Amino acid sequence: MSDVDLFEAEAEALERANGVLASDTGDFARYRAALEELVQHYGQLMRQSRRLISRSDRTERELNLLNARLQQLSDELDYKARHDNLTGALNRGAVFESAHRILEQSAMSVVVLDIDFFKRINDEFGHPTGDAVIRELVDRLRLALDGVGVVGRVGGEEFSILLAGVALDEAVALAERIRQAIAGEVFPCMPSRPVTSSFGVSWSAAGGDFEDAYARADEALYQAKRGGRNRVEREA
Amino acid sequence: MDNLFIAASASSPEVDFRFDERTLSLKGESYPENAAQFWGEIIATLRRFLDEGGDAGITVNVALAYFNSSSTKMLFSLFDALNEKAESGAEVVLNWYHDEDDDTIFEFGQELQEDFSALVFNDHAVQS
Repeated sequence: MSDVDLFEAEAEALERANGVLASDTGDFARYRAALEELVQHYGQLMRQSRRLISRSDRTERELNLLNARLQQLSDELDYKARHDNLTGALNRGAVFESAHRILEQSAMSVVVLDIDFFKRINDEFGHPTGDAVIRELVDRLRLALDGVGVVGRVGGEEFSILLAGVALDEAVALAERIRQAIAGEVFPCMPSRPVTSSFGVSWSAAGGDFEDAYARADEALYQAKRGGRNRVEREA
Repeated sequence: MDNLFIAASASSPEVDFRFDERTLSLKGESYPENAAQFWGEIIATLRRFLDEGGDAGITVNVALAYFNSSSTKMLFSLFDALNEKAESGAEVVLNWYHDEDDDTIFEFGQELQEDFSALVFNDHAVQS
């Protein structure tokens, strides 16, 4: 039964008209009858095609809108998958991904920083204040960096800054500027006590291993903590 | 003649043609693999019923939430057959059901009303 066709009636009318043509008849009435039948089907086909096309145009429009919406949602999802939702900084996974990509192309300095005594802030002032401190700190980071580098939140109160093509001395100077931007003025969300952070800085040549660079910066950060906090240390 | 009942499937609507009650109902969605075949047989049966004559009224209830282009082409033939019957003197009432939010089906009904003007067309918006 697969020979059933959507245009069965139209095909039959066409076949009959062709039959009349092929017969080469001199009977005018037969031509007229065939023409009338064709005209009727032709008109109907045009009407139906118009309806079908306007329907399909409409469906296409709706599909395009849905596709655009889908693309937008997918972009949002992608953004959320790569960013920390408290600060908008890159999350840990995205930091590591970015770092690997940068190191494929160029040398890079890494700054890791950690808010000093953050657990006490949470314990004494509550987590909402802790969150506000973190947000404010990231704002100050961004302001001090002035568009340079990639900021990520790699842990609860631990952040990293990827500085593509920046030499170690320059990165240390930048870290010092950030340290002052944090410690120099009290945070409005916690006016009774200053917020300070400790910093570790490392440098890698292009093609270097980020896990290693990160470990060296982390070791320097540990030195800064041990050395009394609120300071910048570079890798040994 | 015998009534025609075809249960709904995932891709085809329920067909409930109660010829004895002169009430024909379609309900569901229509995108069968071979729309020409699915609808062709239904339309052939309908035409036999319509040809049996009689000017008694016919009520047609259509509640199709979705139909693809091939089905649309076949539905035109179905409504064409009904329209011819109406033109020959029988009152054919078409009750067109659609979700109140479904503009596509609503507008398709409006177009049918224009194209098959012999039918008595009743639009029914159904709350979802």
